[in-house]
Amino acid sequence: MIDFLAGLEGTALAQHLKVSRWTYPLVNAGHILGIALLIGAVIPMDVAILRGRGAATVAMLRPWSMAGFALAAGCGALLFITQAGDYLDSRWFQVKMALLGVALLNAALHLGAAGRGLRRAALASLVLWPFVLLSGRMIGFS
Amino acid sequence: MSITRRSLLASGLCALALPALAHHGWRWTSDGEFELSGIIATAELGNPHGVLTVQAGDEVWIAEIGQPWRNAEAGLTDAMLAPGTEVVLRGHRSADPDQLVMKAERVIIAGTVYDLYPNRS
Repeated sequence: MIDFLAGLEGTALAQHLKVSRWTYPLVNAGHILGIALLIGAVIPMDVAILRGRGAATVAMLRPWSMAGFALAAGCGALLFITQAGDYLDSRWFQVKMALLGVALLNAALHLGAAGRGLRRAALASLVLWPFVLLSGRMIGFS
Repeated sequence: MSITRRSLLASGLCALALPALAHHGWRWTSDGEFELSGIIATAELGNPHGVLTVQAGDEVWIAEIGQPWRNAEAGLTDAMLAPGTEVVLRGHRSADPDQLVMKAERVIIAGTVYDLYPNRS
């Protein structure tokens, strides 16, 4: 495992990101843009569902939330490989990944849900995603 | 929620965030000039910023230096910051006196001053 992490950090891509003047901040900004799209789409969807008129909002915003997630995850993976070992050791990173797993599972399990199950999932989503964001932000401060 | 409760909550959140600012900008540092002399114990160089641990007498300090481009512009190479190097760091220490953490504006090695922030006095 440690060899694998060191290997990740040793790749040419990781080394470039680590010393680059512009790539690293650009990837960092891409991660933020992805989060903005993702959570900026998730919260209106959840609120619309809780107010009983989710269908149109979800139809409009779900693709944006998925695109945002793809961008955030892609850029996040690039940030991760620059300090893979440190990130895995970080308690906040572990918390974030656990919460992210729960939030994704919650979304995946309720893709076709309706009624009370859907509302419960929306409420859970409304709580989970901001906490994923918060624990992610805390990684930089631990 | 009333205005008072809201501002209480806001100041509570700010208090939580304060120790957290340690890695960005200068808000977390004290205004007074600070100088640290010691031996580099470890050097983690790279984005988003370089971090040295410095053995200074009995104390072990954490000193933030520049990200790679800033160090390079100041004339510092990674090899010059190798563990075992005697170093003097000028800059600002954490506003929290319990924290042995500083952010360097200048790095002095063997009498040569490497200026990370030429625009800061």
